[in-house]
Amino acid sequence: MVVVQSLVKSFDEIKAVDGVSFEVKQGTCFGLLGPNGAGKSTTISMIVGTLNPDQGQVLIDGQAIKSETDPIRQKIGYVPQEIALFDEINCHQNLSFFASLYGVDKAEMEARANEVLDIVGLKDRANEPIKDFSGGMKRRLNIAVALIHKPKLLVLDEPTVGVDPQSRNAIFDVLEKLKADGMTLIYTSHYMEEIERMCDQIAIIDNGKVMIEGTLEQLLGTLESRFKLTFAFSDAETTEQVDKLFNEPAFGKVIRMDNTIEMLPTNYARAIAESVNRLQQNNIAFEDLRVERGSLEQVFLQSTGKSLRD
Amino acid sequence: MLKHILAIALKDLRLFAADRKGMLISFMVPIAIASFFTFVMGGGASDPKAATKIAVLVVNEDNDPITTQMIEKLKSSDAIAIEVTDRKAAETAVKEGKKSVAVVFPKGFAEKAKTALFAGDPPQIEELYDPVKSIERQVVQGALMQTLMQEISRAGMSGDGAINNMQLAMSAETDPKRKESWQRMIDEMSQLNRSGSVAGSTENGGGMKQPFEIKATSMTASSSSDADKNATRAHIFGGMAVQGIMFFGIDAAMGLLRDRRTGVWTRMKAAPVASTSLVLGKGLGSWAIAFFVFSGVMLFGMAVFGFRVEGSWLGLVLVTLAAALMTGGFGLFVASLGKTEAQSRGLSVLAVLMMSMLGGAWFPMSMMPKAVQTVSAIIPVRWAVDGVDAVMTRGSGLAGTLVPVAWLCGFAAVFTTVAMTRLRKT
Repeated sequence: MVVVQSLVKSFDEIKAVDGVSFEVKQGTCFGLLGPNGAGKSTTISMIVGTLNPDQGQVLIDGQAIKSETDPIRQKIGYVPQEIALFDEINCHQNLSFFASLYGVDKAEMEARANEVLDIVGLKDRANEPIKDFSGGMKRRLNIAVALIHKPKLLVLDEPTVGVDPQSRNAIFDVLEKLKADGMTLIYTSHYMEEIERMCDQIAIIDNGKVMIEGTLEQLLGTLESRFKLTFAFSDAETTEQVDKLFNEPAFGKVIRMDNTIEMLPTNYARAIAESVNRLQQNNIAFEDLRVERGSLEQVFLQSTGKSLRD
Repeated sequence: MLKHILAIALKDLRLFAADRKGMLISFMVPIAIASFFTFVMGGGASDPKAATKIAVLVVNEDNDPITTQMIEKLKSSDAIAIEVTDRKAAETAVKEGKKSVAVVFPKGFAEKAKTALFAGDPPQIEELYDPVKSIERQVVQGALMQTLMQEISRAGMSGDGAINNMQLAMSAETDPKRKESWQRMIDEMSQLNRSGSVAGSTENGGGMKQPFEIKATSMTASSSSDADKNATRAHIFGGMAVQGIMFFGIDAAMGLLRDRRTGVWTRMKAAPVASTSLVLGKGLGSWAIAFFVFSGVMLFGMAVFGFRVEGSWLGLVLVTLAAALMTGGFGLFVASLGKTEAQSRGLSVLAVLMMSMLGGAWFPMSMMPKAVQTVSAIIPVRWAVDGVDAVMTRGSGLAGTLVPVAWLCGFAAVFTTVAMTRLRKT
């Protein structure tokens, strides 16, 4: 459905996008994960045709956007990072305006407006001015506007910025429904939880470059361990003693920090059983044991050498 | 407590200094307005008198040496600048608003004026004036009274002519006591003449009267028009309507910049629509709103303050459409210059205020210094005000609005072209 080939874009001296390539299959959700300023929005702008690349191209169903009026644009629905709506008018009027830009005729527009407002759960608020809407409602309408002309591809640039968890879940419900109906999605975010939940294929982007790409499983598979075990002890002396006990290949990489021991085992089930057994044999009590699943945060850290939250 | 007060004040000063453009505008607006008023009031010109002289056309149909001498004397007036021409050219110039006032000395004026000091009907000087500029008419009347009274009195009160004029006055007198007084005056004058002295002053000339009258004629389409009375009101409403739509143009520009900030513009650009259509659509919306605002202001003025269209209604509609078109282009132009609302608003407000002042929206152009009048040709507000004045008070037909309309359309074209070029790039 979408082929992004070696995109390059510079603004003055700054190279915002530096050779980004990926493919998005029909009916799947592709996630671009990266910190602010990584080049996600610039890449999205080139995909939706509001910015021309310096090099490279974007193909939608095998065709590049050649002009401002290229009909290929009809296939794309774009949800900008900002709430790009007219606050002074109501839902229906906003939808009607953007529908007119895509050449949707009036009769069809009425039906489509009802349909998309139903999808985003705003059907009963159609005639209310949106200035009184909550942030979450505006975000949902922001998505509805992008759907009004029935696109095949929905491109969402950080669509949940500044919304509460409940509204975020409502947005995910909408997107999951669209995906189930066969729509192709490209989704950018710096929230790894969102990307993990939504996306079939993920690219981690930093400094304008794709650092790593694959399914969630593939990305997590690049980690030294899929799980991290953390033992907490009462004092530093005990912790030091345990560090020596766990110094075996079966426990994987072991890191001692103050009164805790972090373990990155290759086989976590075996490691848990072995480590608890070893502690009991040596009459060492632990105060806490946590098991954490490997995350995209760790993948990002491993790929870029820095935290996603930095 | 004082520490907190000082800290807050210091913070505000830092914020003020940090916004260099805002700081500059804070100084520039009052300086520009004050400089303008100082200039208009004559305080800033090297020759203040020359700066505020009113251009007056003079038609000499009399050709009497005294009239010619009076015109020469008028040329040295501090208030008016004389240019001699014929009646037709004078009428046309005033009617088209190119000159504020024309003065016509009719045939036989000087002769009649001399005798009218003492008896007979005074001759009339015709004063043709632009009703938009009634203030200038009053200034010109003052200058005429001062200069002409001196000259006519001198002519009428010197030598044998004075005695003849007094005898005429005495013969017209019916009261015996007053007749006796006139006779004594004639005897005294004859004795003075014989002794070589010349009477030249009329300051104590009891029994004399004003030797001429000024017949002011407003150069409108209808002779029975009350446009003169309402000209000032019509000009104020016209000027403020133009200024109002220029400010609306700024609002439209801010709307476009807001669209860019909020992502609406980018979203619109993602649609299969040419940038040209997006920009022209914005311009068309502004044009329509400006048209309604302008029309509303003028209709309110007509309904409440009683002025009316003295010329062509179609001409007024055409001027309104052209002014609105210029405003639409101006809004796009302002939007294309700045990246943010904050950047553009201050400078554009200053620009509109300056254009309104220099374009005659606040005062009639004729009150401005010559230099300002020349510069105003490149100020769109001037042409909008000019077009409105032409149809509202001068009684111009459709043809009389074509020049202002052409200028306004030209400005609209330039503004829109520059804006489209810049907006398409961004």
